[in-house]
Amino acid sequence: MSKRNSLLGVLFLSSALFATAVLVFGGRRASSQDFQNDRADSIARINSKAELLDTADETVIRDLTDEVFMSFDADLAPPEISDSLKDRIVRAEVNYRRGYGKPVSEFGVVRMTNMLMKKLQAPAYAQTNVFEVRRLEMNFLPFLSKFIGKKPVGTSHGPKALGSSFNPEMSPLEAVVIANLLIQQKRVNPAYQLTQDEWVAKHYGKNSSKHEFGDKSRSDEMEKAIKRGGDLSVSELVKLPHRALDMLGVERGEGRTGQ
Amino acid sequence: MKIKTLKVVFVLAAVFTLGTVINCGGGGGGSTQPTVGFKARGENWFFGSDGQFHFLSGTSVSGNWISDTGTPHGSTTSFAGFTNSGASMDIPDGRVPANWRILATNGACLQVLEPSQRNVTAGSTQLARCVVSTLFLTAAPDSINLASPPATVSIGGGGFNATYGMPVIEYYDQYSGVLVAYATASSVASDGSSLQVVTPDLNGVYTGGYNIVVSNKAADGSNSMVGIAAFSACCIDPPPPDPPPDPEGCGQGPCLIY
Repeated sequence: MSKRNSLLGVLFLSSALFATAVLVFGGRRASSQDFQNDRADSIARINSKAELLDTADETVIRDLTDEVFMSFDADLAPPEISDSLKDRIVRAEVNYRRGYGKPVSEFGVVRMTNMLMKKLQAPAYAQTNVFEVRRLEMNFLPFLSKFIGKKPVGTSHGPKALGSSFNPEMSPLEAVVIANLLIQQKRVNPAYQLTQDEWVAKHYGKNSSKHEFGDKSRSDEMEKAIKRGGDLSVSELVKLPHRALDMLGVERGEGRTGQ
Repeated sequence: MKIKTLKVVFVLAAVFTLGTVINCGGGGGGSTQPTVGFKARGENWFFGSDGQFHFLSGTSVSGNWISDTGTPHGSTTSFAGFTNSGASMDIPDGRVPANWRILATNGACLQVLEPSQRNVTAGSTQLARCVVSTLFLTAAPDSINLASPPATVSIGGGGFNATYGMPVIEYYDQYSGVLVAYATASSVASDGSSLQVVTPDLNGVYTGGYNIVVSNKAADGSNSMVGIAAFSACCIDPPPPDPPPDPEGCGQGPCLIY
């Protein structure tokens, strides 16, 4: 077996970990060298680039996708790998904005997050639900108003009916951002580290949750789960990145985009 | 033979890759306790419309050594850098054990969540969280008694525009994110800084937190969200909250609601 093949194996497996980039690779970039370039808050950069998303212009979409990958450290995966996933997302976004592709359901964010957390054997409070996704979106609206709050022409279903969801359908790239934001909250924010029962008890019930904001115990548990890596087999690792995007509802397509 | 070899390489590669990833987290790997250096992380948080803190992004962080608290190791006595979301920067030769002043330094902190002066020990991770402002809209009144709701609500914050139609105001349950009422603005200030809306029918609204989402009408007739304001309602006890729908049953099909 040549050195080259061994290296390819490592690269291939690294690629499989892309889908958990936020969970695993995520958050590893930190340096004083980045000080000048990265001063602006990453969410502000995403929102600013999303403002240019008036059409299905692939250049604009790719630029925003690059920003999203950088903000969530997904660009730390080998470029051969991250490029293929980026291509898939860009293609899905272009198609969606041209009216050919499907939107992503808010339930896709739930399914993808829960699948990844299950693979990592993370605690029950790491699981999410669609109510939590909506709460996250509403809270981030002031920061991502150019993205969450602005739907492409022709995708409106008319006036909403009572009982409708806040944001039932997203563009593929929007869904990637929301999923990543949610996973970040699950990692570090006690407000998101509650099971549904605990959340209801805390906000509606008589029993106040014992898990409070200053309590880092669940964040520590999450980090341990991430470091443990679940019981991912080699074949699972290989399939995971595209499986995650499948669960999210990002369409697979053939070939590269036409840039 | 070739397939077997390939499998072995894949397994070894997986172990290697995961091992690398795990070690990247810091603290893993070696069994010896560090005697010098530490990590630091800056984070931006915000206070949400639901009254909870939310993690926003990584931010710049800096530190200055103040005084030793034991036999010192390391010669680095100041640092500054930017940490991406969830990342920690290494100060490998950071002087410890010692008192340091460590702060998130984005220049926009309304509040810090950790005291800036802290005792730093070898191998520790020093978190500096900064609460940044959020441009939420404001509703007046921002709490209503459902038995006698106000005739109109005023929403401030700016960015309202009536060029292509009156802005749309939607009331969402903060728990479920479900639309419970809606209306269109009755008037918009000429400078777009505020609007008035007649209180819609609030049947089905109970005690709890709600979000008002304001959207401008665009030229093509679509809505473009401007922002969000929070308000609380009382005093009708809510029924037990609905459980969230099962995502497996509501993926792309009939459960999807608009």
